[in-house]
Amino acid sequence: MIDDTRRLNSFLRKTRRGHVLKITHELYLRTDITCGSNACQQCIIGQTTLLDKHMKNGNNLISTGHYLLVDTNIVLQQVDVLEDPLLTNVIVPQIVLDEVRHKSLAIYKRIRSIIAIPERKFFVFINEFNKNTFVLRKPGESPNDRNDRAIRKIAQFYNEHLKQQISIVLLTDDIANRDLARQEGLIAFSLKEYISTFNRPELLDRLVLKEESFDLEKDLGKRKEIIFPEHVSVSEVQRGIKSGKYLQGTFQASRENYLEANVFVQDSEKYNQLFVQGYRNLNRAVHDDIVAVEVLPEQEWAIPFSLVIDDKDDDQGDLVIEQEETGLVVQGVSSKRTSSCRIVAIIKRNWRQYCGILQESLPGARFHLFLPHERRIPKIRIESRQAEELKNSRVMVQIDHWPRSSRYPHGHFIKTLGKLGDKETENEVILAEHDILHHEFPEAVLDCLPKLPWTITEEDLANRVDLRDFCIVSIDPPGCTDIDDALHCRSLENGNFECGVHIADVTHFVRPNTALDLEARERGTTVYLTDRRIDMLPVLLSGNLCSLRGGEERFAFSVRWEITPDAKIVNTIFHKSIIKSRSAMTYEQAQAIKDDSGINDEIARSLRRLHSIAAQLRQKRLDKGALVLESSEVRFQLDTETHDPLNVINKELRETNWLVEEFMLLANISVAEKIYELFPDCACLRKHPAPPISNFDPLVKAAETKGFQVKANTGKELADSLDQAILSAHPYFNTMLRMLATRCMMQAVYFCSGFESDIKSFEHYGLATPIYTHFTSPIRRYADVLVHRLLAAGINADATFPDLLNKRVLQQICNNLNYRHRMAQYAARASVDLHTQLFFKNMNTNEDGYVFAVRKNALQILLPRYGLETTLFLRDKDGKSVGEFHEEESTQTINNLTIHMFDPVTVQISVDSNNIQRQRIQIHLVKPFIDGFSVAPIVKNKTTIDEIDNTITTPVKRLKVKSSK
Amino acid sequence: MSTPMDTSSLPIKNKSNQLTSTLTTDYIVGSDLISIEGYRQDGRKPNELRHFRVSFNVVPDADGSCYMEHGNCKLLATIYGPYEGESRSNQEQAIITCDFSMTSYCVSERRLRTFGDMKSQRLQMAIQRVFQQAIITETYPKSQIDIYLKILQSDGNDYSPCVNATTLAFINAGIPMKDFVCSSTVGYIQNKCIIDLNQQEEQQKSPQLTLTIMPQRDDIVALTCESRVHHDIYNEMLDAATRANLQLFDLMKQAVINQLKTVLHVL
Repeated sequence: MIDDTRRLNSFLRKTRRGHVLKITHELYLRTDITCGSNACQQCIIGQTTLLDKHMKNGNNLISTGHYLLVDTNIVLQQVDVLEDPLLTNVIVPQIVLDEVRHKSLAIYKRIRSIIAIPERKFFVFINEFNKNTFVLRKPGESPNDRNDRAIRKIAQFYNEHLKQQISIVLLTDDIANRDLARQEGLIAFSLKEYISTFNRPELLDRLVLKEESFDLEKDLGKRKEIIFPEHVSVSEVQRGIKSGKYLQGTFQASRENYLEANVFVQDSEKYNQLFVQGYRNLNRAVHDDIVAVEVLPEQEWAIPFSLVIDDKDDDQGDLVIEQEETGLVVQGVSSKRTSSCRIVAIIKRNWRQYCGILQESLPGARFHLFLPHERRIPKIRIESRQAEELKNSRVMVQIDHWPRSSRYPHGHFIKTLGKLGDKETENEVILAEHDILHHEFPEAVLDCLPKLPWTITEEDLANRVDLRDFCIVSIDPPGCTDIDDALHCRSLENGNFECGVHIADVTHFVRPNTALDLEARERGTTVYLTDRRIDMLPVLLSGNLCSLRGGEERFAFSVRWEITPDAKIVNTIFHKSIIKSRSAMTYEQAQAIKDDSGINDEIARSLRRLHSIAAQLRQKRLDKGALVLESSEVRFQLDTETHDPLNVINKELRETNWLVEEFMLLANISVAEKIYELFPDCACLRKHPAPPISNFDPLVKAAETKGFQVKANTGKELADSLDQAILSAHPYFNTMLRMLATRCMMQAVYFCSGFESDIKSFEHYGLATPIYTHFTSPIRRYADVLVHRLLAAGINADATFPDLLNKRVLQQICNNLNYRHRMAQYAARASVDLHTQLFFKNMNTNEDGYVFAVRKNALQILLPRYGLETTLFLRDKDGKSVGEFHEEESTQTINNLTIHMFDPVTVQISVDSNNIQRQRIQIHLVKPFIDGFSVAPIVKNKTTIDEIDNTITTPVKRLKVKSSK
Repeated sequence: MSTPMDTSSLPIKNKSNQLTSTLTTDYIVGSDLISIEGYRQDGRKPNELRHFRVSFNVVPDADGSCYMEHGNCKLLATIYGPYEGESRSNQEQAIITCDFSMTSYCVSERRLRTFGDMKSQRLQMAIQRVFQQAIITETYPKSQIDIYLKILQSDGNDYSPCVNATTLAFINAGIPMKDFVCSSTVGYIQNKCIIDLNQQEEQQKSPQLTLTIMPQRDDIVALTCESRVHHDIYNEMLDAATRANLQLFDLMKQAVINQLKTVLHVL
C-alpha cells in the first residue's frame, strides 16, 4: 500500500557538457512493509517471515532473545564473520545493502548469497520506503550521518513494533554511532564485543583489524622498514587520467621476481605494457589490481632482471631495501631498457581469498606472517590466536588493507582447508586458488533433471531423424564416461561418401534459464584434475543420458556432409537425430580394427573411409598453414585405492586420435559458418588472434643459436620454418622449438560476433581457418551448449527464447567462459604438478634433459620423460653466482665450460622435504660435470641425499599442454 | 530470461581485462531498477501506478479544463469548443485540432524551442487521431473543437498523461464521448513487466509499449511499441498494460465522480 505521503528528492547534477541539471525523483512511502519477525502480530500475514520468535545463540551479553542489526561498515569489513553459521536472525537494512553495493560488488555478492540461505535467517528490511523508518536528511547533515541515523531509527522502530518482546542489538564499529545509539536507549555493541562472548577463537581471528592510525615519524624511528609513497587521491587520479599524466591499467606481478611487475595499460596508444620495478614503484599494488601509473622519465627506465628471486628469507625489511639499493639496481650488461612506470594509486583492489600457510613465528606471538600459495601475492600479516593449531595446515586468508609503513599487507584469517601435504587438502587448494566451482549440485539444479527411467516418447521420435540403423561409432580415450561425439561414414550411389558427426544433444535436457542451465553457465566447463573430475553437468546427464554409449539409444545433434573421395565437401546438413552407437571404442581399439586387414565388417570399412578422408582434410589444413604445436602430455597411472601416482605414461598419439579431431574440426567449422550466416549479430564463435610478431623473438633467437631461420610473418611461414628446423643429431630439438612456439601464441577466446566489427578478426590462427566455434563437446563445455541452441533455433529444431539473441548477455557469458576455461587449464596443470611431486616423493633418480632456457642466474631444464620444466639455480653454497652469463648468445659459462641452449644434460631429481611447508622438486646437475657444482650420479641403492646447498630448490613449472583447438 | 533482443544498444568497447568472472554480479546488478525484494527505485511495486491527482475547471474561460499530476508529470489540458469552424466544406463531423506545447522549464535541461518541433507535431497528430475516434463527432457537424495541452513539468513519456488529461477535460467540457480513453506505458525490465514508467525507467534501453484503450468498450485505440520484442513477452506486456489502464480508469472515474459530487453539493 502506498501511503499518501510522497517525498521528492531533488539534486543537482552536472552534465558532460557542463550544464547543471536539477533532477527530481519521487519516493513513495509505504505502510505495507513487513518486519519479518514471527513474533509480530501486526504485519500482514502471508509475507515472508524469517526471524525466529524465540532466538537463542548462547550469547551472554544479552540474556533475552534478540535480533542483530548491522550497519554498512560491519558488512563491508566483517563479511567473513557474518558468513559464520553462528550468526542468525540478522536484520540487514536496505540502505546498508545499497551502500555496500555501491562500495564493493564482491562483498555485495557475498552478503546476498548469505541472505539467500533461509537457515541463516538474514532478513532484508526495506527501511527507505517504509513510512515508519524513513528519515529525511537534515540540513547540514552528511549522508553518512543520515544513514547512521536511519539505522538507529530502524532499531527504534523494531523496539516499538515488537513491544520489547525481542531486543534489537545494533552492531557497529563506529564509536560515534554506538554512543549516539546508547544515548537513545538502544543496545549497541561492536562486533568484537559481541562475538568475544562466544568461545570461538577462530571467529575472532576472522575479525578485520581496524586500520591502525600509525605515526609515521614514530614508525620511522622504531623500525627501518620502508615507507611507501602516499597514494594519490581519487579526484587527482581522475584528473590525471583525463589529462594523460597518469595511465590506468591492470597490475600483473611477476611470477619469478617479486620486485617486478607489469602493468597492462588500457586506452593508451603509446604504451601497451609498462614495467614496474622496485618496492617504492610497486607501491603496495597486489596482483590483479587496477592501478593508476605514471610513466617514468626515460633515463629512469629499468631493465627487467633475468634473476629469479624468491621472497623467502628476509623477514626484516632491511635486507630487501639493501638488495633494492645495491644488488638489484645494478644495471646489467643489457641495454634493453623497458618503458617503466611507477604506481601512484590503486583504482580498484581485486583482492580475493588466498590459500597458503602460516610462517613459523615465535611462540605466543599474536601476529603471524602468511605465505600465499600463489607466488605473485605478497606475504600477509595476520593476527591469530590459534597459530599452534594452524602450524601444519593450509589456511585461507583475506587481505584487509596495506598501511604505508608496513612492508606486508594486513589481513585476517578465514578458515583452514586441512592438513598440509594431505592430498585432499592440496586438491582443495588447487580448486580454491583457481576459483573452480566444485560444490555439490544444489537441489534446485537436481530438480531440473529428467526422472528415471527415462524413455523416448513418440513426440521425440517425430521431431528427430531416425539414424538408429546407421553404423555409428564413438572413439574416445580409455575410461571415458562422458562421450559426446560419435561418427559414421557410408558410401553413396554417386561414388561420394556421406560422413556424419553426431554430438550429444545436451540442450534437449538443459533448457535455457533453468537452475541447471544457470549452474552450468557459471561453471563454464568440466575441470579435469589428475585424480578427479569436476563436472559441469550432474552425472546423470554427463555420464548417462547425454553420453553416447555403445548400444543405447540416445539423442544427438548431427552434422552430415556429402564428401567426394578427394575430400571436397559437396553438401552439409544439420538436424537433430536419434542414434544408437554400435560401439564405444578406445583409440587403441579403433586403431587395431582399422589396421587389421582381417576384419572387414561395416565398422572397419567406415573407419578406413573416415581415415582416408581425415588424412586429406588434415593435409589441406596443414597446406593452409595450420600449426602443429608440440606439448609433452603425460598421464599418471594412479593407484586404484589411494589415487597416488604409480607411474608416468607419455600420451601416445595414434592415427585415430587425429581422425576424430579432424572431423570435430570440420564439424566446428561448418557449424560456425552456419550460425554466423543465421545470426551474424549474436553468433558465439571462437577466435585465436595472430600473435604480434615481437612475440616470436625468443623463438627466433633460440633457433638462431642452432643456425636456423624462423620466419613468423604468417602462420604458413612459421609452420614451414618449423618443419625445416630439424637436427638429425638432436631429435628432440624440433619438439622443443615447437614448445617454444606454443608459448609465443595468444590465448584463444570465445566472443560474440556482434561485438567485432571486422570479420577478419574472427580468424583462428592456430587452425588456419577464417571462422571457428565449439560445437562438439556440449557435455563438458558451456560454449557448445550456446552454439547448439543457436543452431537449433536457426534450423527450426527447437524453440527460441529471449536471451538467444541478446548479444550483451552472450558477450558476458563468453567472458565468463574464457575465464573459467583458463582457470580450468591452470588447475589441471597444478594438479599434474601435485602428482609429479607425490611421484618423486620417495625417489631419487637421474634423468636426462635439455637446457630449455638460459637465465641470468639459472638454467631452465626440460625433462621430456615427465614433461617437466624445472629451474637449476647457478649458485654455490653461499648463494653466490657461479656462472657467467652472456646475454647475446644466451649462454652460461661455469668454470670454463659453456652451456648453450638445447644442450643435453643429466640431472638428479629429488623432492626437497626440508621445508615441510613448501615441498618442491629440486634438481642437481650431474652431467656435464662441473667441479664444485655438479653432484655425482646416484648409485641405485643410495637413498640419502648429499646435503649440497648449491642447488636451491625451485618450484616446478609444468609445460603447457596447449592444444591449439 | 532477461531483456530480449535489443538492437539499439551500441557495441560496447571490450574491456581489456576480461579475466574476471562478472557473470553473477552482472546478473544481480545489471540494472537495478527492481530490487531483489521487488521494489522499484521510487518505492513502488512493479504493478503500481504513480501518484495521480486531478483538478477540474482550472481555466474558467475554457469550455473544459483539467490540471493533472501524474507522478512528477504536471500538465494542463484545456478544451475550447465546439464552435463554428471556418466553413471549409460541408463537413458532417466536428474537426478536432490539438496544440501541444511544453514550458521551457519542464525538463531538467532548459529547452529553447517549446513547440512545433518534430516530437510535438507527432504527439499532436496522435492525440488528434485518438480523439477523433473517441468523441461522437457526428453530434457537432460543421464545428471545431480545440485541445490545448501544456506540459508544466515532464516525467518521461508525455503522450499518455496528455491523453488521460484530455479525456478528463472533454468530460469537464461535457462533450459526448464513446468512452473514457486511458493510456499508459509498460516496460519489460529484469524479466518483469513494470507499469507506468517514470523518466528514470524510461531511459533504460528496454522494450516499452504504450497502449491506449477505451476500457469499458474493451477497444484498443492506439498501440505503439518501438522496440523489438519477443512474441512471448509481447502478450505479457499487453496484458500488463491493459491492467494498468484499468487501474487508471478507476482513478479517473473516481476523480470525475468526486468532481460531480462537489458540483452537485454546491448546487
